Amino acid sequence: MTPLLQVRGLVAGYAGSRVLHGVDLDVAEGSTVALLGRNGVGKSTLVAAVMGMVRPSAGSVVMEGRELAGKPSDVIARAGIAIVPQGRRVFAPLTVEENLAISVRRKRPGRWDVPAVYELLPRLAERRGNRGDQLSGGEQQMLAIGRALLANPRLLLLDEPSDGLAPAVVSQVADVLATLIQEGLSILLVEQNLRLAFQLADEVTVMQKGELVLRCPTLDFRSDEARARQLLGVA
Amino acid sequence: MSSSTGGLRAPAPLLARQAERGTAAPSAPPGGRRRLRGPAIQAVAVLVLATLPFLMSSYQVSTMTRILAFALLAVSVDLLTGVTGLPTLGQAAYFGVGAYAAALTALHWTANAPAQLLVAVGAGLLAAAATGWVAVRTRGIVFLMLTLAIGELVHQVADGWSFVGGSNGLTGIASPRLLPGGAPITLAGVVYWYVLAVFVLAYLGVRAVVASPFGRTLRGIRDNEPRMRAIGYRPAVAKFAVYCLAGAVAGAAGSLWITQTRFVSPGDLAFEVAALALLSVVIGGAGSLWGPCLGAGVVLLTRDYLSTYVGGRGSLLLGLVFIAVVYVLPRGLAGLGQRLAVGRRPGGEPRGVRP
Repeated sequence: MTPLLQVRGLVAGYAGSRVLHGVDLDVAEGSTVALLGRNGVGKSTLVAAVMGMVRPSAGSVVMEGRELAGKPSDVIARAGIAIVPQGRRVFAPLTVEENLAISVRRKRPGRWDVPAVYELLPRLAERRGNRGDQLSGGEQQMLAIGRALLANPRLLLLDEPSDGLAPAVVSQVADVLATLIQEGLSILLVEQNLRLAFQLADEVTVMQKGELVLRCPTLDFRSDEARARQLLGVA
Repeated sequence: MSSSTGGLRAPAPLLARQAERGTAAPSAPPGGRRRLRGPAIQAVAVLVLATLPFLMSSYQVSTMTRILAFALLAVSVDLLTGVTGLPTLGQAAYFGVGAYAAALTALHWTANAPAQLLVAVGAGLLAAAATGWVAVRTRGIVFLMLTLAIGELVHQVADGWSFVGGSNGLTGIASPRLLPGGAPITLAGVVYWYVLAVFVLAYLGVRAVVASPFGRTLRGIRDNEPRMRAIGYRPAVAKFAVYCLAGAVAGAAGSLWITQTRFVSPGDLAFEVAALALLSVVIGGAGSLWGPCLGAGVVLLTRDYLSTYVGGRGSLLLGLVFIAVVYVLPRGLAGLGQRLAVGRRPGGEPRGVRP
């Protein structure tokens, strides 16, 4: 069976510096793939390149049989990929309600609308009148997740959702993501927080210097601490 | 990613900062009292404006008429600059196209002012549609420079085309009539009321657009265009739509201008007009729509009225006003209103993450 997302030989970078040197990555329908690696190995660039926010210079990104590499990100969004970016990036001057309303795409109806997001993330409903920059980090993360869901994506890209959050808040985010995974949403999760990654992912992939160096089931990876330490510099 | 987001906002950090505050206000608090206060103040403002002809000389009323027309131009600039985050120097072009279209209509077809207005709106819209597609694919400084180029281009055309009077412009425009077959209006007060009525309708229309889902899209684009694209929008389409709308509004303003001055020349779409309109937006407070209207009043009164007291050095005076506003009222006159209304908000709210 062909996977939902199939990345092959992806090369991308920024003016003058190449970050990805031919990455291959699959995300199967309904699975959660954790993308691990030390700082600066290209995890965020990979996610940005899949979303079309960084233009790949070579390689292919195929989603449900459709070639998306080089397409603008609005086309990629309509093809069913949504991103929860690192640092949340909510619309600071807009209220929670406006942040969500702006994300509703009428041409892509489905499981998620604004009431459904409020049901999943009740904290947002309480703060619906507050501006994006009045929210706590955790609330902003919830808002960013809600905003991505409103696109009714087949595949959700999450770039370090635990970044900068208190442990209690991380576990709230984890609960929300676990609910989504249970519902069958496919997820590519970039994460430094190994506990969170292990808790959610079926499969672990590790990047080093712009290449994917390991791909294995989460359980196998967890049982081999020495390898984890060698690849990630942590236990 | 953030570097690609913020890079070209450069020319207008002040505008961006103003704008963030400005448009949050009309829609922000769900609390009832503040929501009622805005319309009440606006109704009072319109009433006061409507009584001015009884209180002023006809010269002063004519000045007020021109200020209203110019304020509508400032609203069109604010729609692009404050609401959508596209600093523009091109709106004078569509203002001028509207003015010329209205003047030609008056000279060759009808003295009916509403008919002239409709022609001007259509002309402004078409001109913006014809020239805007190039501009809206950019933002920041590039957008500013492209709109400047469009403005200069249109200015050159007006200046060199004998059909529209070349550098002499168009004169001999008859007094406007409001109804087909009606009497020509010669009283400055009646012209003023007509212009006021059109201004209020156009202003409310623009306000409604800004409050609509489309307006939300525009503010999203202002705040973070790549993010909007990642949600699935095509920002260029929304920007083109608002550019055309702003062109139509500027065209309407041009027609109102002609209704009062009954004369149009290339000077009416020169760089100076574009610059003064942008200055009105900065002084008034970008993104609030009503602030730039006040700003337009300050700018025109300073240039045409106060300047007589300083030996005609109006531009110098305007420069000083501009510097003073930047230092004292970083959010423009609209920010002053908010500061007074909220009272306790000394240093402004904390600014959160902004890509």
